[in-house]
Amino acid sequence: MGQYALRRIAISVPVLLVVTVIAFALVNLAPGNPVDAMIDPATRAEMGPEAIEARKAALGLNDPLLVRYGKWLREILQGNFGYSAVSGQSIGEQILDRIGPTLMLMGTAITLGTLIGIPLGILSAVRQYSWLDYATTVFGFLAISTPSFFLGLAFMYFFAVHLGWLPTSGMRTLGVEESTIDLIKHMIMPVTVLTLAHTPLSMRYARSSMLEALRQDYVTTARSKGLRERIVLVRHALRNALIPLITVIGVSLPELLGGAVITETIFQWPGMGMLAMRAVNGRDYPLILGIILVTAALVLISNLIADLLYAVADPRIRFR
Amino acid sequence: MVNDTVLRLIADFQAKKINRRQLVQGAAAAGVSASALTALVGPSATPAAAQAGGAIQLGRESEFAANFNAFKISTGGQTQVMDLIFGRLLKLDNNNTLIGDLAESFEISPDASVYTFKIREGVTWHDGTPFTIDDVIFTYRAALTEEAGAGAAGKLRQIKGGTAFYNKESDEIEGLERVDDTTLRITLEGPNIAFLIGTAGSNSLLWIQPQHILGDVPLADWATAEAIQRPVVGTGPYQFVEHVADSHVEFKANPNFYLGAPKTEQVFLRLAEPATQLAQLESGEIHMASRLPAREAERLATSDVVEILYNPGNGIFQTAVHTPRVPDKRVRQAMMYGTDRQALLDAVLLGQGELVFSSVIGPDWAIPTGLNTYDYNPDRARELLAEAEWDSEQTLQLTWSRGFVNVELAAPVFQQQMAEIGLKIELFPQESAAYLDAVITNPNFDMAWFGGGSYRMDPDVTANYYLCDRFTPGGGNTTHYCNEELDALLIEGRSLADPELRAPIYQQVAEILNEDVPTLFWWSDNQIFGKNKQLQGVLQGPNQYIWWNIHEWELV
Repeated sequence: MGQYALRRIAISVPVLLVVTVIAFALVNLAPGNPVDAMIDPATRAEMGPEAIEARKAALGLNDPLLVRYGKWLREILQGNFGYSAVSGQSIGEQILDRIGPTLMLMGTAITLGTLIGIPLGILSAVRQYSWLDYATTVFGFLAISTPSFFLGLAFMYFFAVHLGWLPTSGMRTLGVEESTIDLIKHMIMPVTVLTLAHTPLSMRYARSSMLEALRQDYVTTARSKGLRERIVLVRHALRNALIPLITVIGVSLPELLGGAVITETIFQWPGMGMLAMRAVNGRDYPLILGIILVTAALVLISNLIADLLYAVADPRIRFR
Repeated sequence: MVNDTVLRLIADFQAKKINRRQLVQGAAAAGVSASALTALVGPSATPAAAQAGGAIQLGRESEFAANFNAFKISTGGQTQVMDLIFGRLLKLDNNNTLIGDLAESFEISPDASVYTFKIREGVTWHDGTPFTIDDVIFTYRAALTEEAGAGAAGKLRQIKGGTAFYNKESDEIEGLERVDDTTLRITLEGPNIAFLIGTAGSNSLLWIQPQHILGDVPLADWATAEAIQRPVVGTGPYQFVEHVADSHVEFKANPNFYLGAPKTEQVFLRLAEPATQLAQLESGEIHMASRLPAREAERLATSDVVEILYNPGNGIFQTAVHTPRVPDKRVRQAMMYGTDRQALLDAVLLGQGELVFSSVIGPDWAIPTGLNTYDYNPDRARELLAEAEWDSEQTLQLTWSRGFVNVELAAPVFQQQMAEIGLKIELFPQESAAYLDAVITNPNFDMAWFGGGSYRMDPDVTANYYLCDRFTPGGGNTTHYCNEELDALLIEGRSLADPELRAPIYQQVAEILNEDVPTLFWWSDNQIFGKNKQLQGVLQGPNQYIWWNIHEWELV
């Protein structure tokens, strides 16, 4: 087991390095640069080219690509993510600031989505082709194919503008004391939108993996032994059906910290998704790279965790 | 005196990392009294006016970056923050007229080369330190230092001795003169009325910075300095409280503001996407949203909560023609005649704008008369194309920055109307960075459609876009149109201070541009603001910095 874990970790390091090379190249080869993105053309016409060149030089944008990559990597290896090209704030600090709100939002949504999705999926597998199965299937496809920006705006208009029950956006009501109830009110709409997107995912996976388990010989054996249906389902089928779900949850983990760009932006939730949105719009290279690096690391770590859990759950994997 | 240590303590206190007692003790150790601290962070109890409903909440698009370096402000959101916290020598009122701010009054010599400012007395910084002429001189000298990377440096180098100082050939700026404790005289190398005007972010009217706070910070370190990240000491109507990235900036009233304490205790500048802002405006969560689309404004006008303000705009919706590609002015005139511009304005903006016929559109004294209005006349357009022997097989590519909604609505109609007169247009929207590259950085385009600019503020703004030595990428002349007669007029126009003498010059400027149309002039769009009916004190006019008198705003 220990050897297996070590091998998996060792593979992750070169993968991360390749990610930095690709990310750095792509981000820098895209047209535009932070200085141009910062200054609107009208102001630019009145500033003069010297001032603009001076700013580019100050940010090191005139160095060759390879030199910039080298400098950047050296700083990263020392644990320094650098400073935003636009605001001058420390990138490490900015990312740390956003992890809390994102964790709160995504954690709630993913937990709810999993807690609702898995039982529903299992139920619809057990009662395959029943009205419940059809209903959850239709709901699942509807929920997964409605774009979150549309759902978000529709909710906002209905619940905040029309009914006035909930605040439109943000994390708290400005100008009043912070309170948990206020926070929950602000969370309801974005969490619902994200939960609706997440539920069908775990539901469909749970359904198909339960269906597959039900078709296995050991289930038939258990039934033929005369065990009660409940015990067959819970102890024999469900246990084995849950193993593939580790993958689904593993895939969701990076989202937990990476955030949801569109939902966060619409509801003005100050998390990682919004930070990424702003970084890209402002061509803030160091910030974009910092976010990509953190997200890539999260994906690798989540995959690692999922693989290790798999190995725990299914001893066959360890020996392959 | 407040230093960086104390500012950091205040930051910790406001972030709730330390309590009030720790703050007072720490500050005392750094030599700051408890009463001076109160001036900075406010009394311990929340004032009654700060309760729910009392605060003004202003909406802002998410174009915002936490950069409060007075020399590097480039977006509207940053400008708004700076205007609330800091003062300049002069500012613009709602009609775009220059009025005194930290300078009580000013005089311009008749040849527009000497500017004398009378510095306002009795103004104090938010920490209680008196504001003096030394702060002004400190700010101007700092902005003229290369390491500051100031956007206004180019303009400030017109000050006599400014370039030598910038190049470190001299320690003094000859044209920046302290006449006495309250008189500052700025002398330029040559006459140029444009010294005082232009877009607020990059003109010579800098936000005056506190010498007692920033004087010891090396200019190269300003970006990361505590006093730049958290500008708690200014002279403006409001004091900075906190900035929460991608959420809001909080301000509280400066009770010692030189025009009297602001009527509203607390102001929040909230960031949200335009669609979200509309919802917030309708639900009453924000009291003002700017840049509303005309269609949304029409819908909101029936709301009980919202009042719509239609103000004249400063920019021009226009299509620059790269004149080396279309050298014959008759072809460009044909494009003007061939488009039904009023119908287009009605369709795109529901008529919320005014047609313009040159780039000289204001202020009132400069508005030209008797220009060709190019009324829709496709027959005349065809005639002109025939005279110019235009090859009807030749295609012109029209580019714009993808996502510019008004162009996206107008361009297909324009293309259709050009096809009717026998002129082929290919539509070629580009992603903003690619657009900027093709139009400005490495000019390679036939026609480019854009908006904006500050033309209504002063007719000299036009000079940035048409002078022969201002070709892109160095300057703002995207059309690469060059006319020596026009150049001479533009230079003469900026070397006079008296509007009455300038007016006839700009009449001629307008006539030349109207005749040659290096740019197809469409209209100047209205600025549409949505305002909560409770919010009072907002004055209408073309000034896009509508918050210039925010100390008089209140919720009733």
